[in-house]
Amino acid sequence: MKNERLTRAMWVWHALALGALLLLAFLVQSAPGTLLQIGGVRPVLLTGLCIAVGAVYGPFCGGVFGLVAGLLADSVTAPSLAFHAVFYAALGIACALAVQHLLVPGFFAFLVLSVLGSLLYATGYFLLYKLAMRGGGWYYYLHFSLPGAGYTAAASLLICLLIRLLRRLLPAVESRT
Amino acid sequence: MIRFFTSRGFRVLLAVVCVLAVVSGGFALAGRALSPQSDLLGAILSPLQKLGGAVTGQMERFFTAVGRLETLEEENNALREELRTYREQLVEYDRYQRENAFYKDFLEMKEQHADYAFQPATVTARDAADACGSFTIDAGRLDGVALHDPVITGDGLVGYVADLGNTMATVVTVLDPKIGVGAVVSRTREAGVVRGDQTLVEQGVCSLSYLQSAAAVSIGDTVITSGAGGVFPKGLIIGTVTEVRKDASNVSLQAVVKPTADLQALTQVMVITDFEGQGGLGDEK
Repeated sequence: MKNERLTRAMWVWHALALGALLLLAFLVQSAPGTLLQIGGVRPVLLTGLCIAVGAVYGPFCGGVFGLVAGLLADSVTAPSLAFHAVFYAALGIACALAVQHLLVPGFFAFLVLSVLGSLLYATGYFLLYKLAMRGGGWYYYLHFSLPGAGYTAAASLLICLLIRLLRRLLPAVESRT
Repeated sequence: MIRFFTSRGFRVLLAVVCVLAVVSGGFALAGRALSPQSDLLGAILSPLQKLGGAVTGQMERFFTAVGRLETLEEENNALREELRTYREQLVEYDRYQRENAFYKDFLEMKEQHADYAFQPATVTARDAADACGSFTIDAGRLDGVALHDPVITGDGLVGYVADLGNTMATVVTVLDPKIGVGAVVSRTREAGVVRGDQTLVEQGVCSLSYLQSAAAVSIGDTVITSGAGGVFPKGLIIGTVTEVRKDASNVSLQAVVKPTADLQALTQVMVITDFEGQGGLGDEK
């Protein structure tokens, strides 16, 4: 009984820390102006966070975190389909499963997941919002989506390392599967 | 007692005192202020006196400071509070200055277009994945905003409302290929359509297409809305022509237009919720 309460308390700490990081990343990413913008593209920090939380905390946390992050991202995207909510939830779960079954957890795994996750996000966003809905073409994909994916991947790798450090600093909890 | 007065020590002492008294008296009578012994002692003691003075001075300051510590702390806190207030006032002042300039522009626009109904809004967020600069504002359906309402700044057209909530709306800019704005060149009245072009997004410009090949458009011309279609009111400044070229089909001319509104640095905008001749795209109002 006491053990269960302790575990719950530890999870609350982790959830609070991840919630604060999510809010911070969302505010920075969607800040008006040209914060973090290089060559017309910005990193999508929430993508990196979803990859990191999935890879470090397991599929359940990755899925829930991805869903919440997606809801936030959808609130600033027109038209507000549930693209981000679905994509980020799936991304979180996929990253967790990849780390559990395919990749050896560590820097290389983070690198692979960051690159693939960012590329998938940029492609999905382009196909849905640009190609299908707003009339953008492959020029946009090559000049904005791919550089944006590269920038996001670099940011994602840093975020993965940060989340791993956070998990080590906070009291240990078992991954929820 | 007699033994003391008759002792050798007393006699030596007496002799020394007498010598000093005589020497001092002699120097005094000769007009010199300091006797040699005083001078000597002064020379020896002066550095020590300075050191002592410095130490005691420091100690005095220290004890004074300790005594005033509470007062100083209060004073320091009061000054910090005052500084904080001034900083806040400075921020407020900057904000008022910006707002003042913003509303001044709109007042001019309102005077020119009495039929416009405005809803001021603040830019709250940007879509990080969209290079065309779509953004979210803090005004929505409850504020009278409708889908496809034009969004402007004092400098000119920004875009239109593409998605709508009760208290917020998402705006796509004129850089987005989704938008097509009926436009005319102010000087020559030649008509075309301003549309976002993905190859021009990086430079922050859009294109004015479907101009007749004989059109007399030149660099520096101002492009304004034509009012055709009823989505955008007539006469809004869109931007200035920076380049004129043949379009891809080589049939008509295409002008590159730089929007006058700074689309990357928007903080406040106005939504035109109503204007004379408003038609819309058929799915709003």
